[in-house]
Amino acid sequence: MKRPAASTRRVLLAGNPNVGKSSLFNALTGAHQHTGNWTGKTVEGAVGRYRAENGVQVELVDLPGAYSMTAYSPEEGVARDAIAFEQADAVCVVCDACNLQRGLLFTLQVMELAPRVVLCLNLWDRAQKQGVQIDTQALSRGLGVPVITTAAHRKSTVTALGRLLAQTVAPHPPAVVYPPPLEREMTLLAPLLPAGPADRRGAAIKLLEQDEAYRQAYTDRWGPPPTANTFRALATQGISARQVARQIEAARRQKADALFAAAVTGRRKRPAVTRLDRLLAGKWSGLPVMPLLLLLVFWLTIFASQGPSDALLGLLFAGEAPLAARLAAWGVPGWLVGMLAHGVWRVTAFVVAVMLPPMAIFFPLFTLLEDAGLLPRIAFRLDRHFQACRSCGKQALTMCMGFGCNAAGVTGCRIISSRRERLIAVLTNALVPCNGRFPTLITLIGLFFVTAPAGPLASLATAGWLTLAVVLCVAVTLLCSRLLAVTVLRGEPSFFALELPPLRMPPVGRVLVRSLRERIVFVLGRAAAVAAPAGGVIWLLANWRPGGVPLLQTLANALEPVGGFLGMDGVILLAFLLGLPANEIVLPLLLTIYSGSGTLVGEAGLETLRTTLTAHGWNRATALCVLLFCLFHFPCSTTLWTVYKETGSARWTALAAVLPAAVGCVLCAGIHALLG
Amino acid sequence: MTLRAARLDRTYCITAVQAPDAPRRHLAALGFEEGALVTCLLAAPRGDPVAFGVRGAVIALRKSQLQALTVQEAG
Repeated sequence: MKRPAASTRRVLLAGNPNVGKSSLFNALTGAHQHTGNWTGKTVEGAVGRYRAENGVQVELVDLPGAYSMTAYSPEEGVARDAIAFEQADAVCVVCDACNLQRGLLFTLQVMELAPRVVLCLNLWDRAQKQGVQIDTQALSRGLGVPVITTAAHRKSTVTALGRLLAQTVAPHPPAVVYPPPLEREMTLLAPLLPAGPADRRGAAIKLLEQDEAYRQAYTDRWGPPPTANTFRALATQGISARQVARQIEAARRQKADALFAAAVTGRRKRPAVTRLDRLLAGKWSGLPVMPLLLLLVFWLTIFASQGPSDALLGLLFAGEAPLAARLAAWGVPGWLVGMLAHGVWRVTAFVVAVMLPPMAIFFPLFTLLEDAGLLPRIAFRLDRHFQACRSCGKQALTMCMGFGCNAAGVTGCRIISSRRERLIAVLTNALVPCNGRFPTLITLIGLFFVTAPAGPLASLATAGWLTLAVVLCVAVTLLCSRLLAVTVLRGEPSFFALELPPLRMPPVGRVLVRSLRERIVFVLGRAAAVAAPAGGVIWLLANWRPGGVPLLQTLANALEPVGGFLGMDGVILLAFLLGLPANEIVLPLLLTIYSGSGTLVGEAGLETLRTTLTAHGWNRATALCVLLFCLFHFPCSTTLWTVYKETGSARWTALAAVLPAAVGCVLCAGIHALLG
Repeated sequence: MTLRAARLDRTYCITAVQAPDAPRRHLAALGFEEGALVTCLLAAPRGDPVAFGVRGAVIALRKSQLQALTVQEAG
């Protein structure tokens, strides 16, 4: 990573998962890093800046949560490498004040690797409510580092933290003192190590502890460490390598427990699960909860997006003709007028009118469920099925992220520690529909499968079909995971541990407003970046006639046999191919192609879509095939690029594209053979 | 007994962890180590996975992993 300028201080935020690091990060930097009530929300270090009261510029890095400095998953590795090798100006360890027992052990581990540390006890207000009393001065004395208490939504505490992080932190004394033979060998080993690691004593400890992942990361940077003599010397004193590791762990644990006993008093609340937890985990009681919640979210989404959608559609399409006239009046050449008005404007208007409202409403609602802590419960419930497919239950979490965005889901797979299981999750992520595909699904279901007159009942029916579609996607994901696990990704299930954070009532208003605003900005940004150029390209393809026939027609004709075999037509297939950059432009492209260069009749709202589609030979069977192909086809280019980045392999990336497309082709061909 | 036989709402003290180094350390990082008190809090349908209260957090483990943890029932 690039080093900041000399006047900026670089501070790393580290801590156990789900202790509120990202909330503090957002509060300090004014950033909008997505936060959620589950372990592994942050998988990549986010970087933000703020200027403290004393004028010092601070660059803050929000590291992924880690349980220990022995990294088990790639995301933990990111945190460990940053702390151990990066030479930051300070590391701020964030602990959950309600659960300091585990936090202190982590703090000691970080202190060994980083010479300058600040301890931040977050969720302080909650701890006090629970009757936990912490003597911060005793803690600070015992550890030898500054200790500060915070609550992310209390501005004064955040300001105080910001001020503290802007000050120079003095190096702390050794975090843990080990038995004399170990101390002796550490002192001998440390000076032999290169000046690379942030703390040489810490590096010596990690090497003696025989942390394989650390040793590997160290060797990658500075070559094999000179530890052979050390272990030989210890062996002659009757201490085996295994005992060394055990002694180090035990000493650290003792120190953590002693610190905890000395600093924490008051009622220690037992971790508890609520009645709601039992209900969700229940064999029968928990079964309908998720589909019902999903149904409710879909219903609200569809119902609430209808009004804005219709209004926008009328408004924006009414603008097309005046735009063309105005451009022509300015003397813009005819082909450019066509491209801008009937291409760029029309596709962008369509994305904004039809795709934006459902996306902007679904996402915040889903964020609410996420914030409440429901996602880990789903993973908990579903793990048995993933186990049967020899994959990891945390895949349920990455699937949920996929609902928002498949690219984010793929990155999120870093929370899965086994490479095999991670690959399964990456390759199957696009089998759940992302936010960009929901509007297409909603529109097509509403047009072809719901007969009730528009209103709450019709939206409920649409939501019902959509929920069924999602259940189908989950089933297909499990099947494909199983398929991968018995073919290219054979192996045994690995270590599984899932943290269930407490269920909580999310701050509804705050989450909705922030998430809604972010989504609108995001979708509009994509519309400008992808939909607008795609609209231009599509118009050019439709109107450029090498040899008298529009190029678009030539392409569609070439795809016709394949499209026909799959129960669709060449134009639909072409729209899917051209929609590679973003799923939300598939339907707009399709309609733009169908409607040609004539003006669109936008007044009647979505009814015009049905007319356009049926005029081009669509029936229910066609719509069903398009729906299935929308659920199961190659992921968008952003997702594919992310898969390539995460796997580093063109082969796996190709499989990530082929697998869902193959599923879609089989289903569509089957439906076509049955109904067509 | 091992933690596999744990019953809901009972608290156990871990007396031994029989697992290879890597999973043993992983378990220790989560709080499952010798001397730790764990409370069986929640079981998924068909009893797998099972969630335990350990060091102030709730952590779910698969049934197949619980065999490695020898425990004694504590008050």
